Amino acid sequence: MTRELRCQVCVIGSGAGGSAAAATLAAAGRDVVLLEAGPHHDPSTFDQRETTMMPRLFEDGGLTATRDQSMAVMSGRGLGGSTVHNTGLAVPAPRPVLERWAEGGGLPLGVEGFEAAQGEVMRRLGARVVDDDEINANNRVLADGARARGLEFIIARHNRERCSGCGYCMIGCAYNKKRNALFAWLEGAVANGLRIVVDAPVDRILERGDTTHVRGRDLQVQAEEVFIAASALRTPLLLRRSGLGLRSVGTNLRLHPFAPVAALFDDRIAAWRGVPQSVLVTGDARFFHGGRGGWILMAGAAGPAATAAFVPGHGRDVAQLMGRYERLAFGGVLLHDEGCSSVRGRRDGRPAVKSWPRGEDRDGLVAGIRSLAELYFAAGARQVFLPFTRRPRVNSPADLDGLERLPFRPYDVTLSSVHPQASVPMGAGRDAPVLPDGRVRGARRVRVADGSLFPGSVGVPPQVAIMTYGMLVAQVMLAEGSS
Amino acid sequence: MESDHLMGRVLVAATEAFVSSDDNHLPPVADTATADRLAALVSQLPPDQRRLLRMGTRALQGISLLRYGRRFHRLPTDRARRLLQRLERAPLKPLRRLHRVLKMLCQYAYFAGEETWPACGYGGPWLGRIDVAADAAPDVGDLS
Ligand SMILES: Cc1cc2nc3c(=O)[nH]c(=O)nc-3n(C[C@H](O)[C@H](O)[C@H](O)COP(=O)(O)OP(=O)(O)OC[C@H]3O[C@@H](n4cnc5c(N)ncnc54)[C@H](O)[C@@H]3O)c2cc1C
Repeated sequence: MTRELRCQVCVIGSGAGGSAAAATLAAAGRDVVLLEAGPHHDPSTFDQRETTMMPRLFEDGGLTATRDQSMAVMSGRGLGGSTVHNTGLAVPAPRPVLERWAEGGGLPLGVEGFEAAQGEVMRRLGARVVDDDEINANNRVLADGARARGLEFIIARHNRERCSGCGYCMIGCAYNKKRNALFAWLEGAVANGLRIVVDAPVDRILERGDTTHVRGRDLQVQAEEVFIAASALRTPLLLRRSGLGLRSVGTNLRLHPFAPVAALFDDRIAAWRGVPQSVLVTGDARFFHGGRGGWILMAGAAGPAATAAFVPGHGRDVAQLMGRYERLAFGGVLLHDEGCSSVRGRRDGRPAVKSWPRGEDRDGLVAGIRSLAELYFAAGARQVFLPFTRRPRVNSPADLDGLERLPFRPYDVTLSSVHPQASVPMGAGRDAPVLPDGRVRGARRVRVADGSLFPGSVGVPPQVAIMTYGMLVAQVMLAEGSS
Repeated sequence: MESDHLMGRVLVAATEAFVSSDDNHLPPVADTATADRLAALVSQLPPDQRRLLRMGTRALQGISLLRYGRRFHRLPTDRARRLLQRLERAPLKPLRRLHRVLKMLCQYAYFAGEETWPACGYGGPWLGRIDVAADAAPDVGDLS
């Protein structure tokens, strides 16, 4: 039997953006229903094993990839969305990126308004700089190498409290130390009357007169206003299924492609233990200073299985590398991608992502890989392992010659993405699928409130900026008094 | 299903080729529960990817038969490894794709097992070994 609910506002998706929007609306006294496709995960059942946790916390069991499977693309499913398994980096969007976005009308309250709101989000998350004794060996070698190479780096802020440093953040914190969306937004919102329905995937949205109907499996919600926050991969699909929005929906996707690099040291690193990502090398991050492109060098966090999946070579290479897993540092290049990827719906409803870095993005990744390899050698690495199938291993900086000439076709280079964004961008131009008030162009009462809204790639880990958009889009609606 | 059984054997043979080597202490694939983990992973694949993988493993059997006169899962490990190395550099995109998918699945499945962890120096989960006082979970009410 179909269950029917009525409310003033229905929010679809409970990740970084949706939970911030729902909490902001509930705090203002609105009657809000939040629909989440996945379950409510009970942290007391998190067992710190990749084989059990990946299928539980990730879409498609963590096996989502681009349509041609050349790049893994991961995102979360369940109450709290990807904030349940993210690594807890809380980094606000840098001002020059915001200025670029504001020029195109892509920031709801302008640069100052957005920055003030990011400050509020950081407070909500309890974001704090990682303590010196929390910086693990995997991150320490990054800082050492950056110092030796004269590259700027920062010690990042994180949303974690009294962290024990077990290192399993990416497969869910069993100890409730990560201040994810449930802590930061949903607990308070429920106290303010928010109603949450889990295991409630939404199929489509229909605008009829003054009400909007949200249809899911065995569930129908009638609302005056709807906010979609189903992630940058799924919000465009829901819009298309519902016949809403411009044809360009889904075509501005950015992925922050990540190229993994590993390095062998003499001493024990045990990269899987401790706060996974505390040092961000920003020396090559041109977007921090108003330029195009650029990248961040950072640690990669992974258990043995996820690490092994990306290990290059065959037989002896793999066995030797994993046999020295303890002495390996893991990192990678996080690219501020300028080129567009795209996402469309498959017949089975899952996202079909098309992406492969070209031009300046490709050049940026290769330069970033070189920079990280040089950094590791400067920090004392004996060997560095690259994501190129044609040169999986180098023994000295001289071996990095000619990286730019190696084949860079799909599968020649290992890449992954955990930051899909910008698929339904906000802007003032007629070609922007979302208006500066968050409304979907062509729809009356449907807004977007997640990472889809970014006008382009943010360059830094995106949860703070996404929560800020969620909060601001809700505030704009409240200010209109339209509900 | 017969074809799933054969696919399983191809995947186990590919794992052996990807990870085995004389000079290390990793356990032989047959001594681990890799085959079960591979079967579980394959069952989690979205149907279209599972179909493609089945086609890919069949193609691998065919290529192996043409090249070495034996199906892939019956090849000696060093030959199987050489064949996989050729796929990695193949000019045809579907062959490079098959290599990538096999490599990720097989290496993931093998190292996900605790049988391999001592040789990697990985001590495994803290739960049950090291006590950490958990904070209270956020109270989000009744979610029915
Ligand atoms: C491994 C990993 C590590 C990361 N680490 C960091 C980090 O350290 N710092 C950082 O800033 N960012 C990090 N991120 C990224 C960050 O967590 C995400 O960018 C962010 O959570 C995305 O927010 P969102 O609201 O757009 O989508 P999500 O948080 O992904 O939430 C979307 C939600 O919508 C639900 N949904 C989808 N479709 C439907 C539907 N049809 N009906 C109802 N519900 C639906 C999904 O189940 C999901 O719960 C990481 C991501 C990953 C995968």
